[in-house]
Order: sequence, then structure tokens, then C-alpha cells
Amino acid sequence: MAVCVAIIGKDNSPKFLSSLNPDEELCFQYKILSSLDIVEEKIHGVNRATDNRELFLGLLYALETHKIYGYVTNTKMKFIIVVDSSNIALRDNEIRSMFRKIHSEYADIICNPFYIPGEPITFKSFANNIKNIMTGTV
Amino acid sequence: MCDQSVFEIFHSELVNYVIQNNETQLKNTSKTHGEDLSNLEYIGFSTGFRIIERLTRELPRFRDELDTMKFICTDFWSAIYMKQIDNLRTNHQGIYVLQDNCFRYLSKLSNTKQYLDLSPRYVTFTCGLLRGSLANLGIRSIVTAEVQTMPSCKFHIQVQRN
Amino acid sequence: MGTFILDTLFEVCLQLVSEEQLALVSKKGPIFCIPPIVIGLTFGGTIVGIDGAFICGVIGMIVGAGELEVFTAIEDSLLQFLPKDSAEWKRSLGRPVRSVHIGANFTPFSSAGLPKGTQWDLIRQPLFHIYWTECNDVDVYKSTLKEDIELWLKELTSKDIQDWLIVVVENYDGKRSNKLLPRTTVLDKIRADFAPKQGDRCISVINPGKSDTTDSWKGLVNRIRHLLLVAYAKAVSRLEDHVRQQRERRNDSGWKFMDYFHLQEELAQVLEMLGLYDEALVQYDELDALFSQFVVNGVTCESVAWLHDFQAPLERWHALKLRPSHLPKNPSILELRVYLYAKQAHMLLLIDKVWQMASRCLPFLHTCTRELSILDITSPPGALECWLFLASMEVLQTCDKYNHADEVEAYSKHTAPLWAYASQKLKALGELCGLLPGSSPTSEQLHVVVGLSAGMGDNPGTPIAPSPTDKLKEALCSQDAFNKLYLELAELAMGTYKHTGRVRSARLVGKEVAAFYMLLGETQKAAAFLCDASRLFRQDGWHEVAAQTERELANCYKQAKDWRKFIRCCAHVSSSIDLDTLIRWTYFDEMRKQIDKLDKSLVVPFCDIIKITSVTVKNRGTIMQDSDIELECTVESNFPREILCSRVLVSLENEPAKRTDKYCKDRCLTEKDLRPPDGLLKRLKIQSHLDYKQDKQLSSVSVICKLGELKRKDSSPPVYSDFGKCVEAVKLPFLLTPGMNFMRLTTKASQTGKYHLGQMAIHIGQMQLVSLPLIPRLSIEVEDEGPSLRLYKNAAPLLAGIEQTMNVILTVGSYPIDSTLRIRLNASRGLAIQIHQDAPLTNSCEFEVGHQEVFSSTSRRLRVLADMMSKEEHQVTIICPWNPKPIVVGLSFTPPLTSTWKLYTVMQRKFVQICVKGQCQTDVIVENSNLIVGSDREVVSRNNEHIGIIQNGLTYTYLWELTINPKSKGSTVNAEFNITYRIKKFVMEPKLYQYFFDIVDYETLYILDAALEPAKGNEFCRVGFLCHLNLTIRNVGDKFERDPKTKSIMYEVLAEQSVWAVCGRTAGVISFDAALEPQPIVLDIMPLTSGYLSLPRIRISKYIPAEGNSGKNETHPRLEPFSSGQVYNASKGKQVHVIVTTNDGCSL
Repeated sequence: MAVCVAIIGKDNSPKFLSSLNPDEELCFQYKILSSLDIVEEKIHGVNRATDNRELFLGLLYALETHKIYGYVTNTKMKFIIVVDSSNIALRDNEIRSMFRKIHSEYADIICNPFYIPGEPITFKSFANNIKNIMTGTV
Repeated sequence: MCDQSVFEIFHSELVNYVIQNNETQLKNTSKTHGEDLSNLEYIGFSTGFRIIERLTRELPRFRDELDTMKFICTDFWSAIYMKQIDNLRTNHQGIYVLQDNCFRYLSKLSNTKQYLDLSPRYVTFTCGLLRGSLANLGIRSIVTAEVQTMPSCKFHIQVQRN
Repeated sequence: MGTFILDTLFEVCLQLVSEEQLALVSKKGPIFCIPPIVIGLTFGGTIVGIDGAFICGVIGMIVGAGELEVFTAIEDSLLQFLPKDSAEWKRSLGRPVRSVHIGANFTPFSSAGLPKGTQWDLIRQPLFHIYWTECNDVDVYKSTLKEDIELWLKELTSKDIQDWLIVVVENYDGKRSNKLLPRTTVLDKIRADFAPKQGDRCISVINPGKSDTTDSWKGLVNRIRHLLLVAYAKAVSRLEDHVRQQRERRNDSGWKFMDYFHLQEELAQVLEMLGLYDEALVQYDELDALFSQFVVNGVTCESVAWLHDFQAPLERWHALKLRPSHLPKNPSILELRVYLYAKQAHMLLLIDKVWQMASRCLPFLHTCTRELSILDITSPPGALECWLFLASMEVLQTCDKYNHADEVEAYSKHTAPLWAYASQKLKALGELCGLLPGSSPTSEQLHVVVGLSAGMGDNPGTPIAPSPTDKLKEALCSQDAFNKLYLELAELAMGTYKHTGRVRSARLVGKEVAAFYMLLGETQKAAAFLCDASRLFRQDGWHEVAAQTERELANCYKQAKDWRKFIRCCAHVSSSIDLDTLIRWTYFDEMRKQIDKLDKSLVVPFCDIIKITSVTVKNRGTIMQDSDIELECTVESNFPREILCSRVLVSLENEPAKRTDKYCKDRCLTEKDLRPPDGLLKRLKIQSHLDYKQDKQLSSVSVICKLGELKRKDSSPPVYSDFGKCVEAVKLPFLLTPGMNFMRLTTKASQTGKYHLGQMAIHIGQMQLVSLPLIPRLSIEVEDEGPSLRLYKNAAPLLAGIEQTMNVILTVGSYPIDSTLRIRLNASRGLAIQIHQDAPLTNSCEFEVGHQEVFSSTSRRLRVLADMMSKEEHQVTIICPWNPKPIVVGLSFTPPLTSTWKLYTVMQRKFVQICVKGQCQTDVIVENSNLIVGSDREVVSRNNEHIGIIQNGLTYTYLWELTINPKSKGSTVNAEFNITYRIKKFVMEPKLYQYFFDIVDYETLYILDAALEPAKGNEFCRVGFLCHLNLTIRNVGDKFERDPKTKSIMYEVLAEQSVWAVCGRTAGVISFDAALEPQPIVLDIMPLTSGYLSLPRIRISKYIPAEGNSGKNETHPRLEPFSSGQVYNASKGKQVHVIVTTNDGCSL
């Protein structure tokens, strides 16, 4: 169960942000912003060739109360999931499957003719689906 | 296979529609300058830009530009045209030439010189498709095509590096 | 390592000497063997420690039995040589082979000290047993030695010990007492008796004391080493098994973690001693994970009893020390964790992975925090922060010691967050203890500080290199020290982040530092950080975060009383849609308050505050000078409330010589045009292209792209155009409402020229919001129109000879002209003009312009009269003072009547016919026609006198007979025809029309007569039958012609080819002598058709014979035609009846 999900575009600007607790959202924005540095490192870093070619980047970094995971698609879209640290039951594979679901949702939304790539995503159905993925009710 | 032919027919109609639209908008189409196919190419661009997310969803990350081009020649082409590109050549400095010896949309037109002058219309959508897909994968390019003998077609991709 | 370590360790050793630990004192000096640290004193007296050379390693305990005197002789050498080389350790469970150094300690054999072979803690026990003997006599062996060895072995096997070795020492003096080698040596015997299957358990060594380089010696050392290692390996694996067993029993009641901890630690220590640091690390990691698992499970499942021991309230929060330390009895959770981490760090440093130590620190600190909260461990406020701070500082300090470039690179990524973390913890402490700038600690807070300092314990460093504890204590006591420390840490964090390329993290730390600087009152520094941060956020497109940062920046400027920057910031904040409306209102109101207080103008770029949606130029085409330029604009305002703008304007810039910007084709800029083009989703111009071969066949077709011009992103700072020339809004003040606003701007186009629209500016008091240049450019052209002069005639063509009127139209354009200017009109020869109504017509005239309004025209009547006798084409030249070149207007005048004359002859009588044709569109009334010939001639009128009306195109003919006067023969007649005429339309006096012409050569010279006769015997001429054409030519003008040269004439018969066929001659020459009458000429001619045929045409011409002799002046004979009056053809008009040929025996 994720606490916050962000979809960031190729130019590092946020396209979609959703948190379970809206009061914390601004705080998460700061954290996600700084995690972008690590994402960049991982995909453009020196030891890029030896890294695994998986889209899932793993744990980006951990805060006292939250953990931040990253995922970069081939089209350079970045997905970030923020998870509560105290939620120890959450395994890596579950995070991976959450990312895959988010990727699937995103692939669908980009095929929607009313969505212009590069703009923020404002579709209600999309927001609902992401909320469901976050709470694990899918 | 049935749904493939639906798309082929749809593609032909799309070409017709765009050409007709051009003619109603511009009364004088100068024969010396060739037909304006920008709208058709942009339709392909928009399509390619959007569809590539779905097509690359399950694949591991591309290592480099050449890796991406190989994907285009194999998985991408198979997904759309039911076959792979027959020949890929590159000068390793941003120019790629993809050759399809039996391009799907031309194979139904002819395999002689007949209708050669109309064949640009039927490859423009694919040029846009390639450009859009590459653009979303982070490769800015200009895609053009050349047809000498139907139904074989060559796509030239020129990667723009600044 | 300095002596103090030795001292400390000595101290520690003394403390730890107990049953469980082993303290061995060997003969050579104190050798402390206290796991995990082994310090050996070599013979030189140097200390070799844990990170020394290969000499360290495991030291196993070897028990010596048998003839120990033998052994003691070589003991030293053995001790020295054993650890020198490494032995290969083949591992179990598929682990890779490692090479280890192994040393030994010797102890004499005692039965009591023998452990059980199956014990798990063999590590601490004597591992390996060697029996030494020097016996080389088989008999001696048989008698005493064998039993001894048997006893020894029995003891060993009774305790299940299988690691033993029997060494036979042979000392040769060089002389052999017995030359013969015994058939069996003692060694063989021993081998046969005790180790039939494991031959390597018995070995002999020759002259060990004498030299250490013999093969035999080396063999002994290797064997001992090898077998020792085998024993050791067995012991290790047994320990491993035991550990595993114990771990599996962890959920049993009565299992205590600390006991297990010590056990697994022992294994780790053993591995460490063997030099296998990574494996030792694995053991510690397992302990770590196990403990974490217990804590986590303790929350969800039933917690285990021993966990309660760790739940005591926190009393000590000593700093983490990355030095060799010991675990106190009954450690608190923090102490346990600290110890574990220290051990792990130790291992990591040993295997040169400094960065991993740094990377593990933050998760470790997080884990501790989490576990403390899970286990509900209470601690005084600030204690945990202290500890976290100290721990991170310790790790950071340790990292600092390693300053190889690649090491630094590797760990910087991990130390940067640690610096930031430390600074955050320090700040939290500051808040707690009232140490932040601007506050002073209360007595309660001072109390807290005292408590915290006490709980930290002491960990003194040196004055040059203070320890983290020292620094923290100092910071807690003094605000200056606190500030300094906090800023130092934050700067280090930012610096390290930037160095590793994590700019965003650096900026975020900068934001926090900015808040701190604000408390300190150093607003400039704070503003710098906040500016950097907000710029980065805007660049990345994180608008909400940027807006929040700008809020803080606004507050910063407010504190600094930098009102100009404050206003700018407030403008951004209040127009930021990501912020709460109330916040926006607040900043908006503040901004307005401050704008009112501005004294100088403040320029603020539009950015996201105002967006231009459309700009339209309402004028069509070019704009006339002094008329109005009209613009219509729509803008979108993001201000949260309405605001009154004092001015709204769009600047007009002169069009530059080089048009580098894109120009708009229409008159309107829409949102689409104004949006910056998205590079990624760009449309390209694609065209098809056909390639033709030389033979016009298609060789190939292609789809090509027409590249537009390369547009580079304009990164130059915006230049504010001069708003001197601008289009302004009329209805001021303009109320700018949130959302869409529609405005009309006009200005008078006073100057001509080409302009384009520059930038838009909206003035609110002294604040000027300025947009970026409006690209694509809208161009405006202002022209002026000068005066013009035109000469117009009426629709009817101009007639010569009659006064006509034309119109002179003077048009004044966009600017008035001087009323005193004079315009001159010059007429060409034969034309008279006059502009004034009453003055006579002259060759030229002029008039004054007079007062005239702009854009008006006046018309004047110009009277013109063209001379009828002059040419038809005339010109009027207009000279205007404003035009350097005179305007030439061509006029063509047509006479009202034209005439032609013709001469008719009958025999020798002459008639002159005049045809008068009307040219006017109106009727011309003519009367009184006259033909005047010279005084020596007479004409007789053959006309009716009347008034004729000649309409346009109609011809009147008049006829006179010219009487021939023999006296005046051969001369030219100068004739004049005149007639009076009036134009019906005009009121005018009848004018005289005159037509002069000359008649020459009018007298008849020859009369032709031709007659057609049928052939002899025929009555009629028949088709196809020859007839005779009798031609007579009479010379009647002989009286008048005296020229002998013209006596010869040539006649030609020009018959129609289809009608007549001339047989024989068609031409001939005849000459007239004075006396002779010419003979009639007979020509044969055949009619080809029937009917009434005209006679064939006959032409006569003057025949001039060839002149001159053969030579240069020879001329050819030539013909000269006669004038029309000189020849009269009497048979003109005659017709002859030709009948059809009838065949004999015809029938119809």
C-alpha cells in the first residue's frame, strides 16, 4: 500500500501526483523532487552498462518514516512510489507489481486522444485507478 | 488476421481523406513541388508517439540508440506489419536505413512500376509512425522514405543530435 | 597505532581475563590472546595488530607431547615460520577456497586439558597434538617409545581427537655412526604401527636446528601448517553447525538472544582472525537481521521474553565509536546496535569498502529510530537526536580520514545525505533547547541541555580534532557555536550534493539553510538560496513547490524591507494557481500596498502573471497617416482579484532592415501562435518527390522533408523596448479582472514608415508588467498620400478645330499643401489651352492651388482648342511644384470631318469626286461645298446645293468636272475643297473645313479598246474554242506628251486563270511613232466557262528600253506604270456571251 504516487515526465516536471493524505502532499513533493537526482544517476550513471536493464530501479532512498521507490520506462517517464517505512509487510515484488500496474494505466492514458503528451494528467478515471492501485484494492 | 486487413483498408481511406482534404483547402497544387503530405505524416507521428508506450511496456531498458533501432526493426515492425525489417544499415553516426522488401501497404498496390508515383502517399503514415515512436523514446529524428521498385521500401532515419 | 592502544588493551585485557576468555602467557613475552583482537609481540618487540601484515592470523593451540626437549630446541623457529606462508583452506558447502595464515602457540600436553572431540568450542581448545621424538633406534623404539606413543594416542582417541602428528627428529652430526642405513627406520615403524592408513600423520625432520632452509624443515612446517589447518577447519565447521543449531532453536522458550549473539560473534571473530573479513561481516549482518526480525515480530506476534530486557528506558546515549570496543553487560538496544554497527564498519573498512560503511549508516540510524519507537522505549527529549547526531558525525569523521580521490567519489553519494541528516538533527535539538537564533534558552531548556550532556558521556578528542561529543556539547551550550556548527554541516551537505551532481537535493538543503538565515536576520544570503531553489523548481516545472518557495522568498524580502523585490515576488505568488486562494489574496493585498509606496518604476516581466491570448490589428491594409491604428487584445490575468491599471500599451518598433523574426501572415495573433513551439511534438513539412530518368520515366519516388529554418532558443535576456511609440488603451484606468480581459488600443499614426508590434506593457501604479516580444511579428505600415493632379476628358473624343473642355482634378492626399502653390500647364504647338473661364486661349496657363482640405479634390475646367491643320497628337505638360518631374499628358484630337478625293475619267473628260466622312459622334451639319482649282482651270459643280447632315461614319460625296485646258496641259492641279460645318451639339459659328490635294498626271494619254471575236466561222464564242481578242490602243495624249522615251508601251493581258486561257502571247510592246497608227493587236484566247464573261483585264505600262552599251552602265528594260487618269479602258465593263460547247449529237 503506497502513500503517494508520482508520474514525472521526460523533462522532470510532474505530470501527476496523488497522495492518500493531501496534507502531506507538499512534503512528499519535496522528497520526490530530490529523489529525481538519484533516478538520473541510475539511468545516466557511470556504471550504467553493468546495471541490470530492468525498468524497476529499486529503493531510491529511505527517509525516517518513508521509503521511495523508482521506475523508469523506456520512454523516459519516471514513476515514483512512496511507501510508509512501518509497512514492513510490503515486499519488493509487490512494489514491482504496483509499478507495472501504474505503467499499464499510463500506457492506456497516453492512447487517449484527449490527452496531449507533455501536459499534466487530469483524468478522473485515471486518478481513481491510481488510488486503487495505491490502496491495493485492484 | 482479419483485424489486420481492417487496418489496411482504414489506412487507404485515411490516405484518401487526407489527400482530398488537401485538395479542397489548397486549390492549386503545384505538380512540380510534389504533394503536401504533412498532415498524413503528423497523424502517423501522433499514433507512433502514443502506441510506443504500450509496445515497450514489457521490455527491458534499451541500452543505447542502436538497441532501440534493433527493437524497431524486430518487435515493433512485427507487431504492426507482421514481419521484421529485412535489412538495417547504419553509419553509426545517426543515419539508419531500414529496408522492407515487401512493405505491407505497397504489396497490395502493385509489384511493377504501376502506381509508383502514388506510392509516397502510402508510406508517409509509416514515416510519421517511426518518427513519433522514436520521439517518445527520446530520439529526435527526421524520417523519410524512398520507393524504387514496389513493394520494397526504404525508410531513412536521420537522428538529430544537437 | 600508538602506545595508548596497547595501554587501553592491556587494561581491557586485565578486565576481561576470566574463565571464558583465554589469556595465554607464553615464554617470550606477554602474548594476549583475547578474541577478537590478537596482539602478538614478535621478537623485535614491535606490536603487530589487527591490521598488520601477514603475520597475523589465527593462532591455534598446539599441544606438544613426547620428548619436549626436542621440541623446545626448535620451538622458536617453528613459531616464527608457521605463519609466514598461507595455506589453502578448502571450504565446505561449496564456498570458494580461501588462503589463510595460521600461527600457533604451543603448550605441553596434559590429560586434564584435553577437551572432548565432539565439543563445539574446539576453537578455544587445544586443536592439534604433536608427539616429538628423537629416537632413531628401532630397538629403543620397540622398547619404550612405542608404548609411550600408544598411551598418548589412546588418550587422544578416547577423547575422540583425530588431529595429531608424530615427528621424528633426526640430528646428524655429519658423521654417521652407523654406515649402514637400517632397513626400517623408526619412522616407518611408527607409521606402520599407528598410522597405517594416514601416512602423513608421521613425519621426520633432519637437522632442524641447524638450518631452516632445508627441504626437510620446510616439509615439516608445511605439514604442521596443513594439518593444523585441517584441525582448525574442522573446528570452524563444528562451530558453524553449532551456531546454526542454536539459531534454529531461537523460537524456543528460554533462548536468549545475547547468548546466541556471543556465539555467532565468536564465529565472526574466528573468521576475522583468518582474515576472512567479508565472511565475518556476513555473520554480523545475520545477527543484525535476526535482531531486527525479532523486534518487528515483537510488535505483531507475541514478543519474546528477552526482548523486554531491551525495553528499558534510555539512559545513556553515548556516541558511536568506530574503534574497537566491547559490549557492556546487559546492553541497551542502542548499545547493542552501536556495537554491531561498529563491528560491521570495522569489517568494511578492512575490506576497503568505506563507501559501504557510509551507505549503511543512514539506514542503520533509521532502523534504530524505528525500533526504539516500536519497542516503546522512552527516552528524555532530545536524547535520541543527540545520539543520532553523534553517530552520523562519527561516521562522517571516519570517512574523512580516507581521502583517496576514488574513495571520496564512492562515498560522497552517501555522506551527503548524512551531512544533511546531521544538520537536521542539530536543528531539532536547537529548537528543543532554545538555541535557534532569535530565541534564548529558558531555565527549563538549560536543564535539558545539562541532562543531554550528561547522558552523552565523555568522548574527548584533541583540541585540533575535537570529537563529535565535544562539538555537540559546545554547540548545546553556546548559540554561536550552535549556529556555526549548523551552518557548517549544512554547507558541507550542499557542497557534497553539488559535487555528486545531486543539484536538487542541494537546493532543498539550501532552502532549509535559507530559513535559518532568516532567523539570523541575514536576509541576503537567505534570499540567494531561495532564489536558486525557486529557479530550479520552475525550470523543472514543479510549480507548486516553486510557489511555496517564492512565498518564503517574499517573506524574506519583506523582512529585508527590499520592497521592490518583494513586490515582484508577491506578484508571482499571488498569480500562482497552485496556492491556496486565501494565501494569494494576502500577498496580493500586500503587493498593492507596496505598489502605492513605490517611487520609481519597477519592471516585472509577465511570466505566468498575465498571458496574452490574442492580438489583432483591426486596420486593413496600409494605414493612412493621421488616421488611427487600432488593436484589439485579449489577455488572461492570473491575479486573484481585480486591479486597476493606469496604462495599457503595446509598443511600436521600427521594422529593422533584416527581418530575422518570424512574421505573421494574418492580422491576428492567436493563442496558438503565441505559444512557444513544443520541440517534441513539432509538425514537419513533408512532401512527395518524384525522380525522373532522362527518358521521362519514373526511376524512384520518395517522401522528403522540407526543413524549415533552424530556430535556436533565444536565451538572451529580454530587452525592454522603448515605449515612446505605442498604441494605448483608451478607456483608462483599465480594470484588469481575473480571467479573460478584452481591451482596445488605439493611437494616431503620426509618422509614416513600417512598424511592427513590440511588447505589451500593463502599468499598475509604478509597477510595469512587461511581456516578451510578440513573436510572430505583426507589421503595420503607415503611409501618407501626396497630392495628385489629373487631366480628364469627357467621354467623347476630342475634336480638333473646336473648343473643348477638359477637367483638371487636383486631389490633396493625407497632408495639406500650401494654398499659394501654382500649377502650370503647357500646351504643345497647335494646341491652345486656358484654365480661366474668360481669358483667351494661350499656349500655357497656370493657376493657384487655393485652399483645400485633406483628402479632397477639386475640379477645374480647362478649355482646349486644337488647330485643325496641325497634327492629331498633342501634349499638355503639367508642372506641379511637389513633383520634380513634369507630368506629360498626351491628347489626341480628331478632326470632325475627313475627306478623300478620286479622279474619274471618261474618254478625255475628267471628274473629281470628294468623299467627306463624319468623325464626330454627333452630327455635323455641312453646307456650301466648294472645289477651288487654280485660276487656269475650271470646275463645274455636279452637286445639289443643300445642307447635309453627316452622321458619325457616314460619307457624303461631291462631284465636279474638271475642264481640260489645252494650254495648261501637263501641269499639276492644286485643288482645295472646302465646306462649312457646324457641330450639331455645340453652339458655334460655322467653321470652314478645308481639304487640299493635288491632281497630277490626270490627262488621258491612251485609250484602250478590246473586243472579243469568235473564231472564224463561229457565230458565238464557245467554251473551249479559241477566240480572238482584238486590242486597240490609241495614243491620244500625243499632243501632250513630247517625251520620245515614253513612246513605247507594254501591254499585258491579265486574264483570270479559271475563266480565260490565253494562248500565245500575253504581253507585248508597241511603240508609237508620230505618224503611224498602231496596229490592232490580236491575241488568241479561249474561254473556259460559259455565260456572260467580263473581258480579260489589260494593263499597259511605260516601256523603257534597255540603255547603254554592254558595259557598266547597262540597265535592264523596265516598266513604269501609268497614273490612273492617264489610261482609259473603253471596254471596261464589257461582257461577252460565251455559250456552252455542244457536242455533235447532243442530248440532254
